[in-house]
Amino acid sequence: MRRLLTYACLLFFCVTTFAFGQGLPGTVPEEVGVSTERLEHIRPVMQGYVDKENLPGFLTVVARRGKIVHFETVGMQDIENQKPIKPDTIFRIYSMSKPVTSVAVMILYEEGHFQLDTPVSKFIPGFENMKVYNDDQTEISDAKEKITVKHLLTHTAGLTYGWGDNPVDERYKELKMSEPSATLAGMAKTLSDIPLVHEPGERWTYGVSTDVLGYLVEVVSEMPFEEFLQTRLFGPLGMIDTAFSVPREKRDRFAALYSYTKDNGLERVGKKATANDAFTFFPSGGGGLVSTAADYIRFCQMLLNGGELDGVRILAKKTVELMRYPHHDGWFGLGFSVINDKKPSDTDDKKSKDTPESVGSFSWGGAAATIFWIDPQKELIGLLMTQIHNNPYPFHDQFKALAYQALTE
Amino acid sequence: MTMHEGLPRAVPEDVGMSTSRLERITPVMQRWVDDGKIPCVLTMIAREGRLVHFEKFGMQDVASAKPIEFDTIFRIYSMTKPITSIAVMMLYEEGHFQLGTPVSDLIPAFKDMQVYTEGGVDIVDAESEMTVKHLLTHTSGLIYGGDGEHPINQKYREANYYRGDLAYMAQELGKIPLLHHPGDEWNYGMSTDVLGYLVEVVSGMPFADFLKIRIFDPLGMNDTDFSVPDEKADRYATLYEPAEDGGIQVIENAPVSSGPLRFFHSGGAGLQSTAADYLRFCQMLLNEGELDGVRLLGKKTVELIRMNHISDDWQPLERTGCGFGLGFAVVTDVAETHGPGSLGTYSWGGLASTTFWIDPAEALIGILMTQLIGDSPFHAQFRVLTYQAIID
Repeated sequence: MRRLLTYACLLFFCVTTFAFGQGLPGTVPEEVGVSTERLEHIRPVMQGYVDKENLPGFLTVVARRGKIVHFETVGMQDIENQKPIKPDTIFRIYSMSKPVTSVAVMILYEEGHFQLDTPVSKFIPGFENMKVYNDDQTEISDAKEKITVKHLLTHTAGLTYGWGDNPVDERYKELKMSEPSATLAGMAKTLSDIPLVHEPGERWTYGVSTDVLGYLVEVVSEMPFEEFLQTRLFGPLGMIDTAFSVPREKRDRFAALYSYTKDNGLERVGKKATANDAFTFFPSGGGGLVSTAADYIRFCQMLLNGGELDGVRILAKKTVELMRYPHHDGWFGLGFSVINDKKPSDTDDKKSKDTPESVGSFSWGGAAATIFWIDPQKELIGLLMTQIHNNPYPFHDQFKALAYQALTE
Repeated sequence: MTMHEGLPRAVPEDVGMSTSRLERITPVMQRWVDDGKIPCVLTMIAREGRLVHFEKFGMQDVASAKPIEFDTIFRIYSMTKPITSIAVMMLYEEGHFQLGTPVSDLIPAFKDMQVYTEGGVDIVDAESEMTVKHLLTHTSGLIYGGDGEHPINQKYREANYYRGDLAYMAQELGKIPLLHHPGDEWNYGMSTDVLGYLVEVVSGMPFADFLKIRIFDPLGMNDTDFSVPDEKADRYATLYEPAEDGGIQVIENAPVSSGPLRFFHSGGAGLQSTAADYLRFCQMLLNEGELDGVRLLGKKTVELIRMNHISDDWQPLERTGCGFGLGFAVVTDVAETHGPGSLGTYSWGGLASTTFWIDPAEALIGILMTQLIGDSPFHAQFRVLTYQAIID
């Protein structure tokens, strides 16, 4: 009888957790080698940030072997209006759009439309004859190398974000991606007239490469980028709340955005700041998506499964494998960072030797302090959602440590 | 199994591949043919010893509109090299020589070799003996000779080593100074042709006979030879090259041929074969030396063959992410190959744009046959389309 009751509870637990929209079925943590008791160490740490540092709120998810073992919310989605963060809160995932766009590119790659070393100019002719700045941006010359699809996927194209105060950054202001009339084609056109900051392939520079990939998807697939994502990824994977806009009926689920400043601490990104009040975003493959924890965990699980989820195949396992090889400098794959080897190295601090993630893990994050990681060796996914720009706190590393300390096998 | 398929068929899903994903190959290959860029293509994929994909596109002879057939015979050119290398390793297993044995112990023409200094300015004595392994790994200092200014190119042109028999060839090559000291660099060239002669010397029988008796007959490779017999002439594909108008044109005098339907017994480039025959050769290797109860090599020998034997700094024919084993390129860094695959995959190709690879980690073989001496961007496509069809 007692066993029956346990099963009944377990069944109820599974059904209810799934029904609440956690993206994947839940399970008793012990069933998948995770300690319930140790998972409970996560909440007080997150709660501490909300209580002591006045941070808005967090949603933390840990999934192992395809099952949710931890899905918790602490704090507020909107501090001023005292709206608590909920399991289905919608977040700006910013650069966590990049892995999604990269997968879209690889879907088309699998169909034979292009190779990784195909010049992008084959599809976007504007990139045919690029100019390149010298190192201190005082001179401009013809680029010797052509930008390839792989350069865009690995952020080595020589495109940047324009966040500094060098000559190139002035030019990037021409992009005006936040204007309602902006299009991907227009963005690509503008970018092709701006010199690169280095030769394609020379080094890693974070920038609008993934936005260009979004346009590449549009050109190759002959459908709007948003539509491609919806029909080939979000629809098939059941990512029902992921898009470049928040529809009217979901706006009460959309989290407020905050920013940390040294002088004033946490501030709501104000009325005049477009990001917070906007519900429609530029279809930026590099940073435009909004999503939920449930949606993004499904995307991650698809990758962890080698390209397939619930009988829907998005990519082949060898393609996912290819994406998570270290393609650039031992730490960057096709759309995310990868843990290559954890041997000590004094040459580069980007390789995150001090993380509990296993070799082969891959991850990325977004500008509002969201992160995810996927650890194939441990069959583990971690996902943290919040909405804070310029976050100075170490909660990412803490959450990782807390997730790994809960594993019992 | 029908003979022209090489291996028994399987439903793709039974060996972890997707039928619908394999169908993605068809439109991509068909387009190359429709665009008039290549005369024909045969694509072939086997997994776990079973054939899962074998498709044909285009014409074996465009002018007479003769379609390509599954049993069409192709000039496989440098895909001869892996076969010659296997012949060498069969004799190696019998204890006739070691990998470090000087070639001159077996072929005196290579005694006391001379070497060009940098740029061909001077000629000096070789600092080391050329070994069997140098020949197997293309590090001997023998080259093919081309149009370059280096005086060695002139020497290779004058030598006309395909004029006589293999003994004559070895004699002529032995007179030309090497491009570099043996072992110092990777350079594609006549090394495997010399190995063909080495097989002849060590086995005491003509090279072509050794291949037939020891490899082709035991494996059932009935259409592989240095010549195409008259009764099979109608199965022989016409050879093409790109034409100036963007299409293709016939090559009348095929490189390495010694007459109509006849090729020089070049261990580096002389064989004619079919997709089915070559698949059986590949499957023997994937099986670690054995096929259908016939063992050609021990499994440790195949292991040795598919290890990387060259420096990380060298890239065989600009194949990034690859080293070189004993007769094959070997993947040492998948990311650097800029395509999907597995560590330890070994492969090679031929001048007329034929290619194959063997992936032990996935128990997978891919073979592409065509007859075009020109660029082959469809190789990378075929590789992607093959790997994306693996679902388990």
